[in-house]
Amino acid sequence: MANEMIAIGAAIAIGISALATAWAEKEIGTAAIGAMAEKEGLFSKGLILTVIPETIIIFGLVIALQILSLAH
Amino acid sequence: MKGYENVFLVAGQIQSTEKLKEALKGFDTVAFHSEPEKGTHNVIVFGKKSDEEKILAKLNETDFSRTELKGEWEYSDVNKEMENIEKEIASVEKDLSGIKKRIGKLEETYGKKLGAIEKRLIEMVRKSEAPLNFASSDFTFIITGWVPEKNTNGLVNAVKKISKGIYIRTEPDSNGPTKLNNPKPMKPFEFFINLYTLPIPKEIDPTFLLFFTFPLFYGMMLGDIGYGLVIFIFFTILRFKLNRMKSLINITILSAVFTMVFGFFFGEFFGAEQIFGYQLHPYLHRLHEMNDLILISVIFGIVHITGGFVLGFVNELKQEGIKKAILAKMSWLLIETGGILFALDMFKVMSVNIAISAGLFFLGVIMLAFGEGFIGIVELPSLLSNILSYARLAAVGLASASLAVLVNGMANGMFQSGGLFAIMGVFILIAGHTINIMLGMLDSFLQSLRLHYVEMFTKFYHGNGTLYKPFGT
Repeated sequence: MANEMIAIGAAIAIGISALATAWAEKEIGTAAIGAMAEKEGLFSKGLILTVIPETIIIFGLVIALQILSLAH
Repeated sequence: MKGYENVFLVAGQIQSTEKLKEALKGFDTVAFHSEPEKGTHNVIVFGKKSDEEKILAKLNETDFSRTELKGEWEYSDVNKEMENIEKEIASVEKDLSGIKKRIGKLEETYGKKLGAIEKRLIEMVRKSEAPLNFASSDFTFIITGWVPEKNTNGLVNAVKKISKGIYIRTEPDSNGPTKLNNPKPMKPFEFFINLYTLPIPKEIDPTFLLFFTFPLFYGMMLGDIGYGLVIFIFFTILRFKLNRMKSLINITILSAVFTMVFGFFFGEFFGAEQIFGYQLHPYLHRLHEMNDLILISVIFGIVHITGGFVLGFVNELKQEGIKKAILAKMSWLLIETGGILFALDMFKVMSVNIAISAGLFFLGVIMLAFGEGFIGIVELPSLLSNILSYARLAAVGLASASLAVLVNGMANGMFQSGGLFAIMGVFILIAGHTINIMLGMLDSFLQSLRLHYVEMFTKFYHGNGTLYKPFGT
């Protein structure tokens, strides 16, 4: 397989998972801020909940690295 | 301002200058108005004395409100008045700063003492109010409450000494409030437990786990001698300067030590592979041996999660008995072992008969179905995603290390151009690494915490305990 295609594949893997993470964190982040407006003490809990979808992009990164290792 | 023969003046406030102009139409007047303050203009109008009554009548039809000008200013000089006023303002301001200084001094001398006194007084008030909550009849009263197990005898003895007429009974209560009890070095990490949820008394308090693995994960993600050193120095200074957030600061200092240790392991000093000319020899190069690092991370994950299941087993054993413990937690361990053996075989690390791995796996699944029911089966894939989630130990580190190398590369380019660019280079180095340290600190902190909260605690921890509040505090 051509190296260019491998690079594009890796880029798609991490790019789309980054978008997915962003989308999920946007939803949680807005909800967390809404909750914080009611009760300041929820900041730390909101922060932790907001980083939960980071798993998605980490999977994306792992897959991207696996794809890259196909290159010659 | 009175006493003119032909001219009169009126002063006041009005909301719209348009209305003012309208009201004065047709009269021979001169009017001045200020810029609006809170929606109203200050206005002064000079007119002919003969028109005075008519003008006032017209103004009254608008929202004009008249202000009486005080004092006989007619013979004084405006500039002189201004000077006097400015002098007065200056002297008042001087007084004000003197008073502020005195307040500061008073705070320094008495502030702490007053704070302590207030605390003590509140405590006394609470203690003296407490009897109001006790059930009492004309001759007797009853008090109920909790006391930490190890203090029970002391309490009983102390109460018995007061009078012979006191009957006291103690019994263990597993639904009572929780008082965390950890050795001193682990104390700061109770902060995270308070943040999440307190354990109930018969549950394992996971503080010791955070003590062992939180700084480890943090250090592994940040992993840079220089960054660790900066954080260590900064927070050590902060520790002596600041009186609040002690536990967070202590946690960060411990994590910074681990960051330096991993820095040696990865051979990184501010992203470079040398310390002022001394070459570092990485045992594992984060940028080039990423796959190995991910593998190590996942192994950390397997160990961590297995630990979680073992603790879960102990918890269930204490709360629900051996049968539930084996069905609900041992089953997960079997599934995990089966999966790992299968993976080892698949990646040709060691050959394992598929019958063994599949057997362990399905035995676990069946046990789980009995132990946790349908929900347990639905949760199955989460085991894989939880373990793979530990790849963030490598991934977050990769991002931080790449950024550091990028900053160094940009600065290096500037240095080679020489002259003014070299100064720019220094600026880029300082700004770049400062941003990277701050990002790295936040990210490593959150991700490490999250690995505990989400990936590990869910395996054994339920919490929902209430805080033990000693009498009168």
